[in-house]
Amino acid sequence: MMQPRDENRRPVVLLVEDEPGDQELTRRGLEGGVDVDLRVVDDGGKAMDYLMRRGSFASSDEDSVPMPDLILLDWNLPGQDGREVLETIRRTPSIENLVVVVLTNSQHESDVRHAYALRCNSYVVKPVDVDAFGKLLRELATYWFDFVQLPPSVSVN
Amino acid sequence: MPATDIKPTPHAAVFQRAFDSASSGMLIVDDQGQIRYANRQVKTMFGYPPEELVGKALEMLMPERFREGHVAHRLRYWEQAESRPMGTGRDLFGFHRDGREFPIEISLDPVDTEDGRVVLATIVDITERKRSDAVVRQVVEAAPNSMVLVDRDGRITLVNRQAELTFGYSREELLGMSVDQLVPERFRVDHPAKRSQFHADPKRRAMGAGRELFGLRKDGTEFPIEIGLNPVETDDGLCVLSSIVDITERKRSDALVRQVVEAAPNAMVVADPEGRITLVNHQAELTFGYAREELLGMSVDQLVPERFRAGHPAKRAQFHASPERRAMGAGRDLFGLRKDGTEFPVEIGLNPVETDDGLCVLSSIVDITARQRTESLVRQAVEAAPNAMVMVDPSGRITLVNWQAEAMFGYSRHEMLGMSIDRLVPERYRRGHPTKRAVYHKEPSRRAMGAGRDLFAMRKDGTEFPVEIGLNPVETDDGRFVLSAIVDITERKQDEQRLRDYAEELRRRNRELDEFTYVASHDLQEPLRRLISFADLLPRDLGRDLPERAQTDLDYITQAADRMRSLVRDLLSLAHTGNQELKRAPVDLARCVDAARETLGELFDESGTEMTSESLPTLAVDKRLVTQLFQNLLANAIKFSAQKGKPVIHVTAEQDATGWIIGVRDNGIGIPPDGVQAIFKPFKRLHSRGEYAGSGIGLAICRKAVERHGGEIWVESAVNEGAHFRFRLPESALEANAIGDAP
Repeated sequence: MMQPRDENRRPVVLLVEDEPGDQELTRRGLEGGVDVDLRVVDDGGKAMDYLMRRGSFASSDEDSVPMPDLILLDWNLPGQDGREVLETIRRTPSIENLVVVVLTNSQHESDVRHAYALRCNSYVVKPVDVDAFGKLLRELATYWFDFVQLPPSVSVN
Repeated sequence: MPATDIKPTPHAAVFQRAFDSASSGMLIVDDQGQIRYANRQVKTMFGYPPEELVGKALEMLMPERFREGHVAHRLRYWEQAESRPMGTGRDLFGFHRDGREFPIEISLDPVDTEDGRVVLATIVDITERKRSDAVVRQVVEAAPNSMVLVDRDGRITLVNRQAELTFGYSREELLGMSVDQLVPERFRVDHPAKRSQFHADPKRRAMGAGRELFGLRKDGTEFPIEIGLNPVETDDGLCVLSSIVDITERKRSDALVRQVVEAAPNAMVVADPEGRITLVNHQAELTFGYAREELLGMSVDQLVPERFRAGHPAKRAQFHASPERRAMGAGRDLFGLRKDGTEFPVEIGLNPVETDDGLCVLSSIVDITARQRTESLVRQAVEAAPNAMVMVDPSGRITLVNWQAEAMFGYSRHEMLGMSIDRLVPERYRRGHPTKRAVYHKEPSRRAMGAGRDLFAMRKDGTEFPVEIGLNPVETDDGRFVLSAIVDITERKQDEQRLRDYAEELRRRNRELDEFTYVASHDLQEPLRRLISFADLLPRDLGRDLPERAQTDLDYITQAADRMRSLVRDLLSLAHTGNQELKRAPVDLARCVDAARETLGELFDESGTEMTSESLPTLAVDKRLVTQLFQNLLANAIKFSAQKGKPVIHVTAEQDATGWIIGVRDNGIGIPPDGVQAIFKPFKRLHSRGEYAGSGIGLAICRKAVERHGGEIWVESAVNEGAHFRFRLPESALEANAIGDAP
């Protein structure tokens, strides 16, 4: 069931990233921007468990496992990789409208095409420069949470 | 004067006997026209006893209608008596006692006696002669040839209707005319002499043996003739009966035959029933080495080698027994004998020819030395050929094979000869084969069989194998044969398959390598990015607490990481060039140069580079790759020229038979000879990083880009002479895909 985002609630960002270094860089990059509730999972399977509240996330409630307002999805993941996660989201009616930004190192044309074909909301290549990366993350947060009208939040019941 | 008045001389009895024994009738007549003496012949001729006639008027012995006129004749004769035939030109008749008339000839001789002049008349009964003359006349008239009887003086005394037609004179005109008038003027002078010659030795013969004779018509035209001469004894002496044939037509057809024979490509020899040669052509002279004059009249047996000569007349006789057009010596090898004694193989066709001389034989003789030599050569060549060779006659029967064919098909030569070629074709194709053969037979040409189709042949044991077959039509006297050269291409097919497999394997590995490079460099990038990121974060996290040496260490880490990043990026770019889909579309290369220049704008401006370009073509290429290519070449050119001063770059273009050759020429430091190959290898650098920056991947990318278009790249340069990087974009690349494009 979809609900409009609770303006009083901190926006929830789900980072799907296997690399601890990148998790840390993302965390630090978001500092100083929009105050977000960053949740991190390190593979595709866990991302789906989180979204479907199952496995290690089973019987958790909205407070402990809040539905994300934005998913930062790495493209190359161990196990279920980014494209499978995106494809599953788009095929699952209860979560099909989640905002998914693909955040990756791959500039490969076919990856870009593929991601948009699966209706990612944006495809972003991670900048090498640490400052540029931080700036990107903060602007992403500002863009999606301060400017963009998002679909109503999803509740899984 | 009465007969009793004649006084018999002592010789009177002798005269009496002589007169009586004469074959002609004899009368003695006096000037009064009275018969004074008549011999026994007169009595027989006229039916009177001699005694009864003596003293009677001469006129009683002639028909009444002449009697009156005769008296006048008699008197006139008496005035000018001489020895002569009586009544020249007129027909004389006697009057028999029984009242019938009969033709006679009379000659008169005056005799002077003691009793005055008497006339002795000698009388011949020419009834018989007249009769046979008439027969002769009719025969002559009925003859198909012109007949002309000529007397000793050359006067024409008799002609037939055919002679009138032939010469264009009327009978009246011809009679009495000199026969010389019928001879063309140029021969006329000699003609009387020739006539005299005939009279000197008169016998039945052809006139002018060996010479060509001509007659002359009244209208002045000439015509060829043949003349037979017959001496004819007549009362007027020896006459000549000429039988004249106008041979204009025969001459014409003879000439035609002669020309045809002469023009024949074979030696032609005509022999008469006795085997004498009567006609030859020039080719016969050449073939046998005799002159025409030698051959004519010679026995044909002379042209047969001695070892066969004895049997030859019998063979000729056989032919005459059943003359029909056929080849001589069927199945046997025939030989001719030249004048110089050498023999040569021949083929002879025999044709019976009916002629005036009887059944002649026209032989057409071909010297087959060359053909036999050629046949032998062909046989040897075929045997020595590296391929299997099979010759087939018009009906598809095998007439010639070599040992390679035996080996290839597993049949012995003995089995193959006479076998249908269709049996060498696998059964599933066999039904269609005769049709295919017929089609080829209609329009034969030297060509490969079954263009575009895979051909298979079948061995004796039923196994099949792939073949390639070349067909050659061979024209022979027996029709159109086909010589096939057959190559077993089993091995080649296998090699081709191996080559295809190998190429496919190569393509697959290349693709794998490109993919590996791509994935590897991609995966390398991620930790590198983090390495750089955290190297950046470390001094921030430590702030001013970072010791100086630690800062130096950190700088080296950062430098190495940067270098690594640039290498990985270039590697990625190279892999990208290799494995990205090639998108060909017509592109104006000038647009690619412009795009590259725009990308390199800063580099151009800083170095003050001057660039000129020749007119560039529009080609079907991948615009992105070619732009990258120009970009790398231009960047290179500027990089290696700038230190020497202002870079001057010229983009060159020329077209040759295979496509376009495009180039980028600079005025830079150039490349030493040992570098011109190496520089296109990945990460190959000729200079230290201190001198010139760069990973050394740029030219490797250029080569990849060109190769993907099916072209090649090279550099023409010398140290300090600048460099001219050139690449060929083949015309074929416009339609065909280069190897790199294959899926």
